[in-house]
Amino acid sequence: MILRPVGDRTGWWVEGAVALFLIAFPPLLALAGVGTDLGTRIVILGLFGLGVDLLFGYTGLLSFGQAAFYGTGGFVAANLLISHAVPNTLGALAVGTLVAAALGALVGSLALRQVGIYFAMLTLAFGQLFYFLENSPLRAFTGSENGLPGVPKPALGIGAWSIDCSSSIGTYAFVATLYFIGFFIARRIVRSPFGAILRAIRENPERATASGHLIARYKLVVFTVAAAYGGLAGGLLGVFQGYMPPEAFSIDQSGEIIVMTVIGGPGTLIGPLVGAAVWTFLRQALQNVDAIAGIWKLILGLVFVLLVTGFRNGLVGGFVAFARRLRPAR
Amino acid sequence: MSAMLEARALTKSFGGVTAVDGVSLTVEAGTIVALIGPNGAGKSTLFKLLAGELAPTSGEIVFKGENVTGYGVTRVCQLGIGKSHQITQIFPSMTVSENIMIPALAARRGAFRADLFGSLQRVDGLAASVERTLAAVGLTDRAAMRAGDLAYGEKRRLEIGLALATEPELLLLDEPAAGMSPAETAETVALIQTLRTTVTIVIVEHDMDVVFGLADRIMVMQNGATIAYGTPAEIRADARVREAYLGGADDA
Repeated sequence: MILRPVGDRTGWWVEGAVALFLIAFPPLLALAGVGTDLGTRIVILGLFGLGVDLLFGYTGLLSFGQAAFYGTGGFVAANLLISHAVPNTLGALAVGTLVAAALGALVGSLALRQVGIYFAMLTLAFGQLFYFLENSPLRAFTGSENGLPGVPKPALGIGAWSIDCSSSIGTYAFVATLYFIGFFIARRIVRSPFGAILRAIRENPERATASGHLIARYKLVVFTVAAAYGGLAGGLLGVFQGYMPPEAFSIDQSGEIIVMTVIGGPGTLIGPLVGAAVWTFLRQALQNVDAIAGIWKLILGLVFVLLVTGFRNGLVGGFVAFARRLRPAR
Repeated sequence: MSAMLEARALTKSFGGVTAVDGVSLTVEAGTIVALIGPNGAGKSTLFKLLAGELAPTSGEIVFKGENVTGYGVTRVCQLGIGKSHQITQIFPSMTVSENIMIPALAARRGAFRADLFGSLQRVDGLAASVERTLAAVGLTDRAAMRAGDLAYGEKRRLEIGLALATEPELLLLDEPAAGMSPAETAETVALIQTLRTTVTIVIVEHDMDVVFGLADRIMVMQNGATIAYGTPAEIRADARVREAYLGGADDA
């Protein structure tokens, strides 16, 4: 018997397809008359969403507080770069990611004592707590409602031996490379024995426990990993914009990444990237139509309702089901 | 040969209701013990205590010489007590072989391991374990099917398979033949007969043909307490059992 990863019938071609897409994305955007920066923004959200998907799509843990880690990773990296405490972009991002992960372990160890809606409410409360901390007690560190301007553009290496990634396409390449590494790692996780247990926890936590698994520890590890993804994405946001916005900590940010994951397809890993692309494009497009200037958010909301009603497993899930139907029966 | 399992004066109260009242039970290795009794006698609660799903109010449980009272279901399972539930508890959107893989992983790599970059192929003996369990419960040709799409009888067999895949030394079967047709019941009895060579079994069952056909020892419960314990012949002859259960208000 050949053991295949649980719930996964794909192969290495997925990594290849994602790599090709990341390379083709900027030219495709140019064809559509859109700048590369929008693509960079989408890929950053896709990276943030990889963690949310591991947590929600694979393990069934719905967290409304992921912005806490996005913001933390972002502000830690931004501060280190602005103060030149860490001279290297990757180094600062790594520290931001680790701090977000540590915070994730702490928040997770408290919030995961509850399950279901109570867990979701606790993550919401923690998210709001960190938004408040950003706004008031930590204002010297975060710039409060002004955020942190002057974050240096990304560069690889140190001093004279650095490769400049400050151009629009350079930043995109930097972000897309990190996304690909993040995607590769997430794929390894979901295809591992550890990933099989995550799916079991989503499907039937009681049975997973009765099967002899300490599910509390699995949940804590995946929560920490999701926080790390949030932290890395947050750091990239500051580096990409040259400015770290306080909104990274907002409840809207927590909600939006869940919306993107649900639209794109939870439990698919590429779902959040697809969802981020659709959501960001729609947002941009609707805002530019004068006739609906006042109600574009309402229309965006309706589109969300339609997408969720029409595709129960998101756009990627819908596409997979469609492709399977086209294939002749075995 | 010492006892595999010893329950001593187990009591479980829920508020004012005592579901299990001072029950003691000894299970010798290699035997099949059946628990019978009218509905509400406390059989399922006793099972939950033995499996670690509930902690007893008082009393203790000793498994293979170790006091496992209050260990919790994960630890009890890791030590070698597996339970198949009265109500089917499967992973519905996974395939049948994936279902079996989950408890097999617990048996093969322990209660927790952070092998985030590991591979299923490299888990020692996992494929063989899954294959063996599938064959034991007769679901080999259903391996790739979504578990939620199985027929009722097949789901019940998968339920037993999930308990079996934890590689237990003591298997608790809570009404394995519940809701089965006579043909399916006969298959289940045959399955349990093959299992008895490798694993010690405690079974709760309402079907008296199943109970008397399989059990080496039978314990009869009523109102949370033991009213008789003995060989099938002794239980048949016991006047109190006949009155309380077999001959009297027989609801079976």
